[in-house]
Order: sequence, then C-alpha cells, then structure tokens
Amino acid sequence: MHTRIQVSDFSVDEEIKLCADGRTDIGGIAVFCGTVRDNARGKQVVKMELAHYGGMAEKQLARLRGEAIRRFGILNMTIVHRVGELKPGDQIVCMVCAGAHRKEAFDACAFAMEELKKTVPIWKKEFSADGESWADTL
Amino acid sequence: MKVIYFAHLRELIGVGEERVDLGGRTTLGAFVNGHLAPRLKGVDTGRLLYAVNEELAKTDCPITDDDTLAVFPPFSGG
Repeated sequence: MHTRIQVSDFSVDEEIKLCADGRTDIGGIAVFCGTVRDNARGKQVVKMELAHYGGMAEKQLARLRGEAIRRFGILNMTIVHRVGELKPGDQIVCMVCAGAHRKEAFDACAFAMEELKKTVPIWKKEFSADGESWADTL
Repeated sequence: MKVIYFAHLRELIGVGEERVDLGGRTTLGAFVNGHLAPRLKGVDTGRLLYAVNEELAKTDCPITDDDTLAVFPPFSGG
C-alpha cells in the first residue's frame, strides 16, 4: 500500500524500496520523515497522542498522493502516517517521492507535506509535566 | 443527521457523536450558526473544518438528515 495510516513504526529504508519498486527510470528520491520534538510552545513534551478520522484520513492521503503525482509528474510516491501514542524522537510521518529528476521529487514532497497538514484529518495532543493540550487549540 | 466531533472539539462539546434532527434540507452554515455556535461560546467557529459524508465541505454545502457531518478543529498531522 502506497498510503497508510498505522500505529506501528516504519522503516524509511523499506518505504524507499517500496516507492522505488525496482524501477530504473527514477533519477531522484526525496524523503521527508517527521519526528516527535521534545518541546512545544515552551513546554517539555513527554509524549504525544495522534488521533485521526478513520476512513476519511486514509482516503485523503490517497487523494493527496494522486494529486502530487499528477501535478509534479513524479513516478511514484509513498506516504505513511502513524497514529496512537508516540514519544519524543519517534517517527511520525514518512513521505517518499520518486521522480525522473530531483526537482519534481523535492517539489512534490514539499507540496504534499503542506497539503497533508491542511486536508488530512489527524490531530496531535501533547503531554507535558503541566498537563495535556491539543497542538492547535480552538 | 449523524454528527461526529473530533479532538479538542469532542472535549468542548462533551460527546463524540450525536444525532440531530434537521427537519428538512438546510445548509452547513445554518446548522453551525443555529446549533453549534451557541454550544461553543468563546470558540472562533470560523476556524472549524467540516466533512459531509467524508468529503471536506464548506458552509454553503447542503445537508439533510441522511448525511453524516464531521466537525473538526484545525488539523495538526505531519
């Protein structure tokens, strides 16, 4: 599956392999891996919980992949996003974009990360010694 | 209509989901102003996001009792 939401960790190497899929027409693979930072808004983060809208979030990720492939003409793309409880340093998201050249791979990766933040229903809750708070409070 | 609330909003509303009788066709905006805003005092409802039947929707989207509406705070994935 080239777009997945999962609780378990992922291997960036394995995701690159999945995205490259043995093809030899790929000239550049751009990878973004998001991780849990140990601080947010001046507080020490001890853990994070990620919630999502099951069903819709998966659909939006697949749509995002299709849009990035169409818009930038890349050859393949893989997006994995984790949910559940994570600790500082843990991997959250992996985006792999394979293109004939580096430019479209970089551009597609940057575009898709920005769009993911706007269109995929996933939320972070941060836990610190002071208590818990949603990453984007209302 | 089935209404589902997520993340911070779920805590503010106090339930994860509920059924609301619209009594006919209306718009998402009318529902938000009439039903949601009065329960979310102090919240800028202009920052809320919506999905009707799992498709992102704007406030001019028509809704009926057969729909499932999801109400979201701003996303923070990635």
